[in-house]
Amino acid sequence: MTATPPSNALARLLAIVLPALVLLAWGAWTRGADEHASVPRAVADIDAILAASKPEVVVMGNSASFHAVDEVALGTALGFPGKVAKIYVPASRSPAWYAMLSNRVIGGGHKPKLVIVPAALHHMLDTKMDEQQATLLREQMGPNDAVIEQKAFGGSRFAGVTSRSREAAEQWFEAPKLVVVGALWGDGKGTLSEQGRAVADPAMGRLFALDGATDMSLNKKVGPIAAGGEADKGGDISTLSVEGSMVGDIADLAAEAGIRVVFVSFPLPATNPTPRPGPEWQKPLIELLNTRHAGWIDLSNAPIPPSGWMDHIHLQKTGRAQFTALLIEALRQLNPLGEGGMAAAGMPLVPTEITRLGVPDPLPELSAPKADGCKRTFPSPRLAFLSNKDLFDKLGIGNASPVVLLRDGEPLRPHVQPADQACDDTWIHGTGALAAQVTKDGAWSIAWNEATPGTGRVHNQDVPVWWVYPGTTLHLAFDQPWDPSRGAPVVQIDAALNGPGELKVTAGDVSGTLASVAGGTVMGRLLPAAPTGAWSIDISVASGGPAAVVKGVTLGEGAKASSVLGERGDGNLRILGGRHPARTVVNAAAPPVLPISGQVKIDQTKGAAEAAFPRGRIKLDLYAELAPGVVLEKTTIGGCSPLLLAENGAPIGPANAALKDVTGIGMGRWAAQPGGVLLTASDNTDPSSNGRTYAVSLNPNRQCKDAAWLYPGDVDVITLDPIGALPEGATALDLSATPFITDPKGAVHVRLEVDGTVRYEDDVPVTALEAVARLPLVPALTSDAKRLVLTLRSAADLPFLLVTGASLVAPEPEPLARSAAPAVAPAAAPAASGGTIAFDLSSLRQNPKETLRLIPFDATPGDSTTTPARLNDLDGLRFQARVAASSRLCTSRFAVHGAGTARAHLRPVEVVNGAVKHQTLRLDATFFGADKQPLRVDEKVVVQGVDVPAGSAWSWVELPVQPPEGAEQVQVCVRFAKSSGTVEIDRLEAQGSPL
Amino acid sequence: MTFVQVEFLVFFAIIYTLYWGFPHKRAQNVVLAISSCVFYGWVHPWFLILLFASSFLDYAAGVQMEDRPAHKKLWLALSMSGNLGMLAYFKYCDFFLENVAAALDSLGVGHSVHTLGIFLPVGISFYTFQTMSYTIDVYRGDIKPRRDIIDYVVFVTFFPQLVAGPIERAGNLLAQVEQDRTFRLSDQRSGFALAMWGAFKKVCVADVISPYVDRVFVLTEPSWGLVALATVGFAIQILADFSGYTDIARGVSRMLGFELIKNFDHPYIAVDPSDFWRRWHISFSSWIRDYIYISVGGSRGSLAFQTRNTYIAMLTSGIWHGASWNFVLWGAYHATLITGYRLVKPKIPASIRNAVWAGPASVVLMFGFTCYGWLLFRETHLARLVQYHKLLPWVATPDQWVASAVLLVTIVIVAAPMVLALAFERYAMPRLERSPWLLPMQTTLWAVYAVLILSFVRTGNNDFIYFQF
Repeated sequence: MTATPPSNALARLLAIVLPALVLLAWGAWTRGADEHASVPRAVADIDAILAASKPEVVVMGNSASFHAVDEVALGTALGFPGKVAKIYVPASRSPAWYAMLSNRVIGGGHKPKLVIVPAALHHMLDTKMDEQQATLLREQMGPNDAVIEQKAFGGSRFAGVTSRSREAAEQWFEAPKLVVVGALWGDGKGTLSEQGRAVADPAMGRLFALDGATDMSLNKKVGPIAAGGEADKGGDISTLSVEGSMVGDIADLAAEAGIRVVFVSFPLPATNPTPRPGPEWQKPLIELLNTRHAGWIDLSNAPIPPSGWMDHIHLQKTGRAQFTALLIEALRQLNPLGEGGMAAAGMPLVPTEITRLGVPDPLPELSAPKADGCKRTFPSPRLAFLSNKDLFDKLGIGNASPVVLLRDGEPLRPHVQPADQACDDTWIHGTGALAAQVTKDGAWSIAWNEATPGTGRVHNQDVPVWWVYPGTTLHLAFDQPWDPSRGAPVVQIDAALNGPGELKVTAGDVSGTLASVAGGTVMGRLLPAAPTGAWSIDISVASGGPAAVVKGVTLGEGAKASSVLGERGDGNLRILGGRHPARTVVNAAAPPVLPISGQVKIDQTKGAAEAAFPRGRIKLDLYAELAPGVVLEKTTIGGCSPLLLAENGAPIGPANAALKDVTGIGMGRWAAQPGGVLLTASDNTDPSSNGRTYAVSLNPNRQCKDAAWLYPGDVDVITLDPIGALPEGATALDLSATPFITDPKGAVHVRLEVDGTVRYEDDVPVTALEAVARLPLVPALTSDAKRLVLTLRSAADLPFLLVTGASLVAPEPEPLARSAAPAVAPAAAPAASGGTIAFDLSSLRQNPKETLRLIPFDATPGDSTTTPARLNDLDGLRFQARVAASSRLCTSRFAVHGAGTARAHLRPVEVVNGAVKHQTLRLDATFFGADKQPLRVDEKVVVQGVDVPAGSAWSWVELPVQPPEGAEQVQVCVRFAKSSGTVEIDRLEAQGSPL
Repeated sequence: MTFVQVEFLVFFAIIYTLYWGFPHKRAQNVVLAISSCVFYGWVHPWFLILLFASSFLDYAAGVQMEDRPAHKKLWLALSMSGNLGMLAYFKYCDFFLENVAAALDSLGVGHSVHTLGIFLPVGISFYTFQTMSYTIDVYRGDIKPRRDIIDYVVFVTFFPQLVAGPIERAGNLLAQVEQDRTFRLSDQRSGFALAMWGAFKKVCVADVISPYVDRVFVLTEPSWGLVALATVGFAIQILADFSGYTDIARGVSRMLGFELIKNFDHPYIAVDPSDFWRRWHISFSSWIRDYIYISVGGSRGSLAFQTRNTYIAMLTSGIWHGASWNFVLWGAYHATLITGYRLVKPKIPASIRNAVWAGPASVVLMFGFTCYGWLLFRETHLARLVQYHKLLPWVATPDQWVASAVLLVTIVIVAAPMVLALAFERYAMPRLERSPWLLPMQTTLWAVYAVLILSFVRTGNNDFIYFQF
């Protein structure tokens, strides 16, 4: 096409006319495209739902909204049985809801009395759409949706033309494929294209949906030269806008049509990483809705337990029932269909100011640094209580030292591991010293970090840290009075003290004290008189007291509670374990004497000569006598150890550090190993010749992060002494512990005393504690309980136990209306194994992406096989399988006859930097029909620290399953989605009634 | 910004007006230098630091070689180590660390080796190779070093070809930078036609087939048929994507008065492996030939020596594409193909070689070999490659058969314009070249292209594949 042809007048004229005709024809065609376009399937489906139910109530939104509401229960409770229609557009935002209301509901001739829009706040306010969302919105739009065109597409007529053109082009593009598929697999009903669509769409959906979460980006490592790639990742709060969203337009549209509309702010599980818009976003939205006479219900703090979630956004059956019950209760209070209309929604309470008041106690003087190259070490034993280790152990936050290291008044970059350091002006707060690697020297000093909030790091995520230094007060000011519709003005405080001391809390006209005799998490409630004007909450630590971290401040109770600072839990009160560290003090009896029988001796380890610094090993041949079969070296979980290693009488650590840190960093790090303890001196001198004494003993402080040690013959007394009362009452105590022995026997004596009355006392077998033992409280605790004492007593012949979880379980919310009981499937003959079908090893499938390790239980540590051919050798044995990142482990398919439970017995094993790596995995059950095609996948996201203990305890993860109609087989899998980690699994099965 | 964004249209309209508004070459070059910096630094301005580091290193090396001939080798070494060092750090460092960590893991050795998460600046492999060729050419005495820094900067940063080639030689591009450019209507017309065709290939072929291909390659358990079809789909995608980019680059350059070298010559009608490399990514394959293959001995010497040279060249070619073992495998595969053909060719009887069907059969066979190479190229997980080889062609679920049919029809639809274009170029164009009816045909085709591009263009992730290299 490079040559220059001769031309004449006609050719030149045609050269202009022909392309102009093409463009004109295109323009004309796209203008009329809507009139000729076939009705998209999604639209037809919605029309069919509305036509079938002739609704009095419409629930609309996106897929989260669809899964949130039980329409049968809602219809019954509101007096419109069978008249509730649920309609949704996947991944949609407010423009698509407007389009549904305008074109499908009102435009379709329906006139419901009430429209309910349950959605997460950030979905309501999000103004950004990706391509798929825009396409789905276009499907819902009519030819004259100028309001949507303006708001969602910026009023660009050109955008509409290209969008319609794209739809048409895609239809053309799809047509030949559908015809071919219809010709090959069609059933003869309808046109070839229709037959093809009936076959191709479900097939493609089934085939590609299962791996839909996979990142398909090719260029993920390449720095972009075009804007868009990085900004499109979602979760961006900057795309939210109250005015830019179509929430107000929906309210106007409904009002014009005489329909009442209620927006319901929907909760998100802790596993959802999406940033939560704070009350500052709610406030203008509620103002807008109040002016438009639309209703507002805030259920964003609805206490849905982790088991209620299907994934990070959708509720499953139990969660749906709970959410619907809360919604019904809220609707009854709001009375949207009442004669007088709906009451204006109350404003969320937002602190107008959060400041730190007062002058903190002076910090100890900084010692002169020791220089080694660019390294500067500032010995600072008096600051040890603020070291990263101490903070993590006591407060559950790492890398959050409130101290800043200054050179000539300028702060250095904190919390950089020495192993990662160059001479780059960074530092880390070690146990006994501040270690810096610097480009130059100067006048060194330390000061309190004035940032409010500071930044900590938990599970590799930055979290805000609200410090209260000794002598200071954290002041939260509110300029609004308390709204009585919010219920009682309860103020809940969740904080942690970095040592023995008190935290004084004043809310409105009342004050109280949270105290701890050893440091750790404290929580409590205050009940001030309802503030009628401006008021404040002050949280202070007296001079000379410990430093404290405020983790959460929650106002109100139950579903009406809202968090003004930090996170709110799931309604259960955790005494130990869970995402938050211990909420109590371990106040145990004196530890038993460690029966050292051999000589404590220091010698050099192999390879020590080549190491950067000397290290030693203490040989201890005593564990067998202590508790036969105990495996103490396995207590390297998250740096927890029952042992204490002292150098010249002073404890050193971190205990049970990762081996690479012991050998690479040293500075007192040590680790228990088979037959002894590998240690380094606190200053990396040679422990065999530095003249110091080293001694091993049992740690009298049983508490370690969010767990507590229970030694053989030991008694742990765990007290919880809040200011106020338990938030919800409790019906049971969940207790879990990890025994450090291969075949535990015996029982722990458990006693729970509340306000002087024993509510539970019995022996609980150690094997039951390996999972989570649910101990019923008789009578149940009421919300006015004041003081709790949990006593755990171990016998001398019991193993070392790490108590990883103790929670008071809140009562399950009672649904106000129940759906009809599902039909009971006819009972089939029970399986040979008494209703349980165990894992079928012969059908174990290995994801070729990853190595699946199979470890026989009776194998010695380290002995494993990666050879699938050997699997059959293990048939019939118990086994351990490891599921690593991006891999999965599945049972074979087996017959299914009715409701049941899919479950996996597992524990996390991967240890990174001394802590079990945070991980999320998925338990799912896929149902197959007679044609062997998948019908449905039920799944549950399992989060370590939420669904299973944070440590490495074995526990069951269960997924209740109800097979869909036509299901003949089920297959149960455990798989990692994207995060990395490793779990060991020794049971993967399904059981029920019966499978 | 990239060529298929609205921002680029605005950007180019401004540059084009300014550029031709200046009558003198000097001012035009300044416009080009500034606009190239804007184009490349649009999102990450710090990318420019690397670009200029590489440029100035080679500029200085060239000048010093002329001024101090005694130290020529030293300056050559400096240039090579600087450019290769940059490539090694940004492109290969994480790959190296990953493998060291894996090796230590497999030996059970505790370590703290971890990857650094280095961001690969787009186009780094292209412009470092371009600047290295300049230095080598100066060292060899093939060209004179340039002292005009503006001209030299335009040569290195010329925005149409900066990010994904063609990899130009100083003898071609730099010479044009130094010459006066004349505005010719014929150049504008043919340049526009070429750019439109390139945009069509990118938007309506590559970006349409890519979602299908990507979905198959992330399936945990694909069928043999799906993998095979996705591989053919990828073959079409990568050709349309890369040659589309090149055509836009060449078209835009021509509109600015530059003629870039042809980078593709219908590679899928190649009849043997060497022929394929004469048609595919020509600027790169000729770079490898001139600076590596010939430097290590080329086709001289024994068969074993030639084979060694082939492997060196092709392995370099493979690893140039990315820090991953599958690219090494791909390079080795093509070296094996070339060597194998070198051995087999003399043994093919003349009766077969000269048969009427030999040509088409060779094309089909070579296309099969090429596609297999693309499978190695596309799948970065070696374990999954092994998995694909265990699949049986006749085993698939009903859903997989349906998906295979859909994929097959999709391939036929998207391949059709490419085949038609080839037929048009081969058979219709010679007859129409001097016809007055070519002009209305051309403008009508542009309108059709525009309509289809506007209908299929995506706003999401539509980067060109070769940006990652």
